[in-house]
Amino acid sequence: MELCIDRVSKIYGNKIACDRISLSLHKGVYGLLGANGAGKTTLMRMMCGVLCPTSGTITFDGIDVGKEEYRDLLGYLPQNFGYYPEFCAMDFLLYMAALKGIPKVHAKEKASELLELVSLKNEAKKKIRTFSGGMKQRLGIAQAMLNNPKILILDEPTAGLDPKERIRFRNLISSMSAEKIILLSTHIVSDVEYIADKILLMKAGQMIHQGTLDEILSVIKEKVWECRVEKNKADELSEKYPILNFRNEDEDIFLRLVSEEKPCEGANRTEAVLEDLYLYYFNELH
Amino acid sequence: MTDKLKKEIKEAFEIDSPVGKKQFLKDFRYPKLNKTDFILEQIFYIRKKTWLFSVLIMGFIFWFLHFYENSSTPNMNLWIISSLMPFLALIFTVELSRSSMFKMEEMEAGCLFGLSQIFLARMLIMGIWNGILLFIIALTANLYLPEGMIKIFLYLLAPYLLVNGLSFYFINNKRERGEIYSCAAIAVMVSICGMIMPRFLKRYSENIGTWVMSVVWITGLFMVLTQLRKMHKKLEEDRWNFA
Amino acid sequence: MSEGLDVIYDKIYKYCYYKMENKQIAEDITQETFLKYFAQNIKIENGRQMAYLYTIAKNLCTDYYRKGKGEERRAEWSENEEYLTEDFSKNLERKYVLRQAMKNLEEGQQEVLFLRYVNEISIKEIAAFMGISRFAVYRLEKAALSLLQQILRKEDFYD
Repeated sequence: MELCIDRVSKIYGNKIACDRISLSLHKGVYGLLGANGAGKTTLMRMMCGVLCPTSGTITFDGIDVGKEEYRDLLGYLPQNFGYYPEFCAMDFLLYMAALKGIPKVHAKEKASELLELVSLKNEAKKKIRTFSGGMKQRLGIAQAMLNNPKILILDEPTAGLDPKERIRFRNLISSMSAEKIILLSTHIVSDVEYIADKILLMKAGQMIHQGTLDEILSVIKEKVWECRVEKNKADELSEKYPILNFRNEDEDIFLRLVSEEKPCEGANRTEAVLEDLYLYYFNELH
Repeated sequence: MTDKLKKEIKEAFEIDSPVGKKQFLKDFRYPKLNKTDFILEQIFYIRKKTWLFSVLIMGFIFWFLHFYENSSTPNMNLWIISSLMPFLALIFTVELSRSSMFKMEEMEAGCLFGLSQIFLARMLIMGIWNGILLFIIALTANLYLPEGMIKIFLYLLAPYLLVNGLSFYFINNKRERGEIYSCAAIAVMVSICGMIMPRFLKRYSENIGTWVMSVVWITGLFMVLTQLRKMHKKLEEDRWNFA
Repeated sequence: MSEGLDVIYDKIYKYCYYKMENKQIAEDITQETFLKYFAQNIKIENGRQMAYLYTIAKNLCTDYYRKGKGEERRAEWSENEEYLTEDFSKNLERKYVLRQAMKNLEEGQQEVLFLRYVNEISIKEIAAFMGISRFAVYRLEKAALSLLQQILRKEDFYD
C-alpha cells in the first residue's frame, strides 16, 4: 500500500501554492502541519483528484489519482463544505453513499453504524441546518468513511470541534488507522502530536520536514531554552534568537527560545515539543 | 413432540459467533453500483420542488389554453405560452447547479461517481422530464390552437433553448456563486420579450414572428450544444476549479 | 433484505461449521463465500439469491474435501473441535446424541433439517437451493423428521 506523490506542483498565475512536493505515504496516520496559506489544502485537493496539479503525478499502488478506481478507495472531508438544506443527517449519508456507488441496502446499515460512531445516532432524523458546527463536522467525518476508504484525507477535521469532541476524534482516528492511509491537516499541534505516526511540515508551498515526531524534533533537540530576564535583555535576546514563547512575569519577561548554546546566564535547557518546532517555523514573532 | 425436537435441533447446532466476523464485515468492500443504477437512484434526489414547479407551469398553460379565446393579434396565445418556457428552462438550470449553490461540489467531486457524473445524471433526468413536459404541452396546445404542430414546437422550444444556452454560458463562465441570479434574470428578460414581441411585430408581416423564432431556435440550439461541450470538457479534463 | 449481513454471515458460518466441523476452516469458507457472491452480485434480497449463497458455500466445502484427503482429513481436523458454546448449562450429552443421530440420515435429509430448523430458512429458499420443488422439500422434511425420531427412540432419547 503506497500513496506516491511525485514532484507535484500547483501554480496559480504567478503564485506557487505547491512547489515540487514528493512524498511516499504508507499505512498509518500522517499529520500535515502548516500555517494558513502554506498550501495544505491545495495539496490535499490534488491528492483527492478534485484539483489538477500543474505538474507531477499522484498514484496509489499504480492507480492514477484521476481514475474512478482511485476515488473508489478515497474518503475525503473538504475544509469547507455545505449541505443540501432539505437533508437530515441520514439522508445526507445515504446521498453520499449513492455517489460512492454503495447500494442502498448496504448504505443504510453502514450509515447508521457511522452515525453511532460519531455520536449522532439520536440526531439521524434531524435536519442538518439545525446542527452545530461540531455536529456538522462529525457528520462530514462519517461521510468520508462510508466506503471503507483505504485513503482517508481529512482537511482540518477538528475545526469547530469542542475539546471533548477533539479527544473523541483522536481516539476515533487511532482506532481505525490499521490498513489505511490517513492524512489529516491541522494548524493545531496537539491534534496530531500523539496520534500521527509521521508528521509533515509544510511552509510556503514546500514540504520542509517529514518524519516521526522524534525525527523532526531533532532539528531543535537540546536547543530549547527557558529563561527569565529583564525587558532590555529580552529585547536583545529576541534580536539574536528565535523566540518561541514569552510572557510577562512581574517586572521581568519569561522567554522560551531556540539557541545552539546557552543564550544567557540563568537559562535552563528544556525538552523540545512539537509545539516548539511549529512555533519555530511558523511563529510570526520572527 | 416434533416442535420440541425442532427446537432441540436448533440448539444442538448452536455455536459461538465466529471470531473474524466483525473485522471482515467492517473491511468488506461492497460491490459498487453501475452507472445506470446510479443515474436511476439520482431520480430520487431531484428535489420535490423541482417536480412541483414544472408541473405547476404545465398546469397553468392548460388552464390558460382552456379559458382564453384566441385574440386578434396573430399567434398571440402561442406567444404567451412560449414566454412561459423560460421558467421551465430556469428550473432545469437551478436543479443542475445545486452542487455549487450549496457548496457540495468538492465533497461530491471526491466520490466514485464524481461531479461530472452527477451533473450528467441530473442533466439526463431533467432533460427527459422536460422533454416529456414539452411534448405534453405541445400536444395539448395543438388541440386548442390553429397554428399546427411544427409551429407550436418551434415557438415552445426557441425560448427554452435560448434561456438554457445562456444559462449554461453563465455557469461555464462563472466568477462567483451568483450565477443562478444571472440565469433567473435572463429567464425573466426572455419571457418579457416574448410577451412584448407580438405587439411589436404586428406592424410587419404576419410571418415575421415565425422567422424570429426560427432564428432564436437555431441560436439557442447552437449555444446549448457548444456550452454543453465546453461544460463536459471542463468537468472531465480540468476537474473542478475551486480557486 | 430482511436480514442484516451479520446475521447472514452467522448462518453461513453455522452451515459451514456443520459441514466442516472446524472453526478456522468454516470461517475461511464463510468469508470466501461472501467474496465470491459479491464479486457477481450487488445485494442479497430474495430467496433465489440466498439460495445461491448457500450453493457457493456448499461447493466451497466440497472443494475443500477434494483438495484434502477426504474423510480421514476431516477426522483429523475435527478431533478437538466440539460444539461448545459459552452456555454450558444445557444438556451437552443430549445435544451430542442428537447430532450423531442426524449423521445417520442421508445428506439431503440432513441438509433440509439443518437449513429448516437451525438456520430457519423458508421452504421456498431451500427448494431453490436444492433444485427441487417446494412440495418435494416439504416431503423430504417430513420423511427426515420421522426417520430422525425413529433413530432417537432407539437411542432412548425420549426417556
